Amino acid sequence: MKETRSIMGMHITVEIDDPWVNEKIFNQVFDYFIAVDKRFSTYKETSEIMCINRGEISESSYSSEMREIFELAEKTKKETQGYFNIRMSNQALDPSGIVKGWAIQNAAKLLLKKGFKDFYVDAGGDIQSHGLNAKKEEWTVGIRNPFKPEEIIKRIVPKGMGVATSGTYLRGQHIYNPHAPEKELHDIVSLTVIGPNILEADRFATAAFAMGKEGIIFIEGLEGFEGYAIDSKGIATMTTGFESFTIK
Amino acid sequence: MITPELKNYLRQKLAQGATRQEISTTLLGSGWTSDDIAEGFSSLATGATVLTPTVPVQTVVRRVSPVPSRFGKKATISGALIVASIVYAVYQNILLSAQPTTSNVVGTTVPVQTAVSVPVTSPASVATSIPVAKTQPVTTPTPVQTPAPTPTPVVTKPKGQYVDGTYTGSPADAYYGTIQVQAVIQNGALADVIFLQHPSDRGTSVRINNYAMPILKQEAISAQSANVNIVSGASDSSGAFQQSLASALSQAKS
Repeated sequence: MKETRSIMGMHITVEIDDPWVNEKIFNQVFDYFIAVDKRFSTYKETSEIMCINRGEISESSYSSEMREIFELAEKTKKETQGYFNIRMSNQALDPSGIVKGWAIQNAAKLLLKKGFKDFYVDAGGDIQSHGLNAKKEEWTVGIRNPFKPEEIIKRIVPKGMGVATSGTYLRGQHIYNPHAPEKELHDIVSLTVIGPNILEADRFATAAFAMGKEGIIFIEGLEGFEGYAIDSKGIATMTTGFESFTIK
Repeated sequence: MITPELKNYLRQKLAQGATRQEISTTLLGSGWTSDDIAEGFSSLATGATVLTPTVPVQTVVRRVSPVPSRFGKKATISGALIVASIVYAVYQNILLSAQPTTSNVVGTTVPVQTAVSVPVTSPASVATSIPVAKTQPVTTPTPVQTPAPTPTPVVTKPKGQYVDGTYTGSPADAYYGTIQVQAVIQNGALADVIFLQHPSDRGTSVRINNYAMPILKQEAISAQSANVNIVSGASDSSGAFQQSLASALSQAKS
């Protein structure tokens, strides 16, 4: 059973193949994403993050979700030499780069807690899968050609790991290099990261993408992560263990 | 660190008859180190670059009307200029035209124009500018030699006011293949873009990245079976075409 809805300005697809699946669980998962959007959207004036940016909420009254995201962002910033930074050049906070992976991760946790084991959650091309598909086979993930969206240029078997892709044309230029905010990123147009789970894959994909050509080398140095970077000329660079996840 | 741009530049200047000394002097002046330059020359000498593009098959993506090829000889301008002017014109169409234009190239939600992709904006198409050294702040590349295009009002007139006609760009190297486009101007505005050539068969070439540590495998991307459960990529792609235009436009301005 599979359902797609448009939330947070992107398509979110949930497929559950356990025989006891029901409509109720889909509503619970999508309601969760709606709640996340309501709290963290920088496009909604009434969101908590926008209230924080306008100085209307003191730090002591931040929600526990907001604190968790800020802590994760701070941790990621340290782990990525400052390349991951939710503070924009205009001093506003925009945690979008970490909220998506975190929300997918929590949605997957919710499904596990409810006893489901064969599913995936895909939000805007970032994916957490678990168990097997309807044919009782491993889930397969295709990497989209950044120059030709209808084309798949790599097939991956993530085996329960998270798969996240960062790209320059996703939601405009929302990824920038905090060390040179005025410089447009165009060396690498797409970076796919396979990580222990989608939260980990997503936060390091975002940060490594901001590093440009060095990003894939950064991923190479992270234990438990693999990556596939595509540059503006259609040349891909992969980490040494990446091919253990690919199928022809 | 040497880059494909540097190699292209070296290759072209050597082909134009420049001496190594002349080339080195120019590059040193724009921030490249002598090590980079020496490595660039030696990479050419050893043939380390094996990303030889497959000669692309001529592919006409779409045409409004039959276009006589003789226009190609009459109004050939450089690929870079025509690409820049096309994207500028298309952008003007998007911005200024309140009504749908006659061209569905600017259909902004249709990302199916396969050849209207990032390679159009590739720095490699700016054939003879000095590649920018990676370690220094980006400065405006100094054009060493303009490829002497036929003077044309296309790139100089603002507000999308162009001279009617069909203009063929010279083939532009997109590193893994060649791009050549034709622009059709009607009533002073861009009516169509026809792709005479675009890289349709890149092949797969594998090389070892010999200047970055650690050594990572590289390949040209190529289509695989679409038989997958889920797709990972930079989102819903309806914006890709506009993004490509917008980024090209920013280059066209500079």
